[in-house]
Amino acid sequence: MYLEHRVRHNGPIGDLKFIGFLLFLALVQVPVSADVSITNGYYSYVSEVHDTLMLHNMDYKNQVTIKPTYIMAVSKANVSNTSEPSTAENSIGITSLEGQVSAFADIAGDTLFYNKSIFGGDASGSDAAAQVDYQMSSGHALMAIQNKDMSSSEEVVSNEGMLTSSISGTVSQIQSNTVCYALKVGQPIGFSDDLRIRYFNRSAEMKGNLSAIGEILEGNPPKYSWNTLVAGDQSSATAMMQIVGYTGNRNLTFRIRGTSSDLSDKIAGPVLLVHRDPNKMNKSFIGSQNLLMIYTLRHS
Amino acid sequence: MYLGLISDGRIGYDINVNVDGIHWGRSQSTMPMNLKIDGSCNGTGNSNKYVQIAEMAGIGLSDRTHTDKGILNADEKINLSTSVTEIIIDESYSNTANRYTVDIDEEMPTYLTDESRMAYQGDGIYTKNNYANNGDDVFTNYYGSYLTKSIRYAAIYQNATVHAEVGPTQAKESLFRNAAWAFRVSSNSDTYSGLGYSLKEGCQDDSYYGSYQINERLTRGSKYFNLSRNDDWLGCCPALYLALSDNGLDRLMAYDN
Repeated sequence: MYLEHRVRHNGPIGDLKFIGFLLFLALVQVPVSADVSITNGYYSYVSEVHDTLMLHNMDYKNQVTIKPTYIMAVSKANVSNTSEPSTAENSIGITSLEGQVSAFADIAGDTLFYNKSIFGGDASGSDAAAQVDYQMSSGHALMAIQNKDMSSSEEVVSNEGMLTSSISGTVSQIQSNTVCYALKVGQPIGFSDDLRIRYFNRSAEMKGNLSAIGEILEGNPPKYSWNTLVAGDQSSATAMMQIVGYTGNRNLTFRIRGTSSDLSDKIAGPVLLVHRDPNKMNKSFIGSQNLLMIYTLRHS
Repeated sequence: MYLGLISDGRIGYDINVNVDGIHWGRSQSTMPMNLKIDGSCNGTGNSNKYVQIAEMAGIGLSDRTHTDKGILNADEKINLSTSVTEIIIDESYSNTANRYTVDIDEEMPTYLTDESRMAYQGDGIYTKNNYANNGDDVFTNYYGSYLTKSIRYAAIYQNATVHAEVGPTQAKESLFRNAAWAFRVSSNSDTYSGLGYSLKEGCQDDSYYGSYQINERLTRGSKYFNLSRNDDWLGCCPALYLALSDNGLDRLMAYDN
């Protein structure tokens, strides 16, 4: 199967171009100016792990334990010089008794923190797992994972021009389920999230956008929290996107658009949260608003 | 006779690092097993023999022998025992210093012995033996119409600690290991006898043209004590200790791992 998916994203975030799911499986070397590149392989009775990492302006630590019956690796990377942007590009491939898992992260931003853990599975049947966490104040991140049950997901998050905020995300496979989740919290000017999943020959995509617009008044900035989740098993894969916006000193607007190869197109929102003016009694849009969208792809 | 070992099911690692164009890498792997070979052949005619044991935590051997029409008597015993306890890799990169650092602690107990004898007379024999233990190679090479040869080899690799630094201007590596090997050969050839060794510290390659009787004995051991591991290395490695003594080879060959 091959899926090529191109998305153009207009607006304050800028345009982004994406590559198909098989890219991270092929471990294509994208030319990136990096201070250090590390390509490691770990082998045990029951699993094989390949980890390719390129870092720029980051300090890095990694500890690996290899025993005959399992492999475990835990690593942390954090920004070295906060006056420069950092990048982390990481391809992970795991072959275990239960199948193959691949994960890919390409992250560029300011004040970037990047953590990773890899478990190759063991002889008792515990699944292989790869988890990637990141946090940064501004930038964009491409995260993708493909799991043993033939489901895959790819998520691109952009967050530019943020003020005193942070975005973070996690991509992981947990136990027998295929789960990727991401939680983004911040005080925005603009934020977008493009989440795509594929399950056998079916696909779905959700695009979420949030931006702060209009005059900036007195008081605290508006806030948001943002969750994405992908879960799957032998019969289906589900993706969810949720945005919660909170009123502040500026108007906040957000929406989610969904498309699918087999299911109907969906749209959630747009929501307009009007700024909270301390001098007026405006009770219409005080507090928070919540948008939620779910797609479930079934294997026929 | 042909014996080749496949590489599937191996345990180990490989590391490749590039810091602004400065490259360093290391790999080590093995396949846990117990292998015993005990064989002999006697007869008249042509023969070919190929034996190879490779990449067992850096220990291995190879034996390539071809005989033209002649009389051949040969026997060989090989004993191989390999295992992995654990491998710990601790790596880091400092952007400010532009330096990558890694400490690898590998415990991969491996034990190999080879005892072979042969006697040949005929139209021609060509035979090469090579023994390896993590960068230490010992080799023999013979051809002629008459050859008697007796080889005994024993090698141990218990564990090692590797420290490497890559960047900003160079790559450096320090290797500390508990390992030993012992080699003995007695031969009598009428045409050509070759014997040598290659170590990190140096090499020797001797060639003898004509009828020569050769007796050679080589022994090497290295040991270290990793304070952070709190090992009793003597208690854990009696075979290693034996290899370093005067009659170490005989006692090493008799050691039952």
